[in-house]
Amino acid sequence: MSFDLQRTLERMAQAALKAAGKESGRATAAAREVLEDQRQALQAIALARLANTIDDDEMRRQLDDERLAFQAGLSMKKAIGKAAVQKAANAAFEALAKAIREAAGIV
Amino acid sequence: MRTLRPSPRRSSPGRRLAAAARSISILAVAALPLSLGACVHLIAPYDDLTQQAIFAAARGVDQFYGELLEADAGKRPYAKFAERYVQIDTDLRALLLRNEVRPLNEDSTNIARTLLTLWEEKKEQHRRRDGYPDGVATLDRARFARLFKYAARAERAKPDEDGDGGAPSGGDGRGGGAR
Repeated sequence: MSFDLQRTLERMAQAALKAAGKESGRATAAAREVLEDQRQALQAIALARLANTIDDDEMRRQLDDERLAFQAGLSMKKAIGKAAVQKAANAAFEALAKAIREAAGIV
Repeated sequence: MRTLRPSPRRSSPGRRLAAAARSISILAVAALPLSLGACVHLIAPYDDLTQQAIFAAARGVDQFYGELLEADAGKRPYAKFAERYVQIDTDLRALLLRNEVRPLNEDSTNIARTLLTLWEEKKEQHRRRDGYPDGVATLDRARFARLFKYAARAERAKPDEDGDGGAPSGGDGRGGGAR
């Protein structure tokens, strides 16, 4: 029975990177989407004010609402990020478990 | 005066046997939780009922604004929409509760709380001015749609109960997409 720690660590890192690579792309895309949504929303508020469909008080209320919506967007991004980290960590642990099972002959 | 003498040592095969036994016991201890499926949990697992509740509430709010904008801008008294406000308010409170009671779910809970906060604010504004201008309704409708999208995306990203990753990118890839 032999247990190669160095090789196991490499396998764990590879498994984590493989899982994280796919997932981190989603988190980045989500962050970009939130920023783009925010840009469009602020533009719509500005245009509405210029077109006089809302007054100054309403514009201020809308901007306050946008702050809350932006925070909600960040919460979405955080959830996607956490899911990505969880998947990567579990892929690493699975690689470790596999290496231990192989070394102990429990495959 | 005592002299240091080498302690009696086991024979070479004996040492090897002891080392092997030690390795086996360490590996067995390490392998036990791993083989039992112990894994890292940072976020609540995906919940299809919550996803369905998000889509149902989104539909209710969008329909509300559709009907409101169809009505003549001068004929949108609060009383005409009061019942719908209460109905959607109930749906959003249920959605918040559903999120709140799940552990490791603070991000989705924050989104659901924002939805409820904004809905109550809009209800109060409508009651105070007894009207809802087109310009305001259009902006509010778009914001609610965006918030529901965030709620659905956050839920969809969550791993399944067994710890596997979320839905495939692109479509929802799960049930609950009834809109």
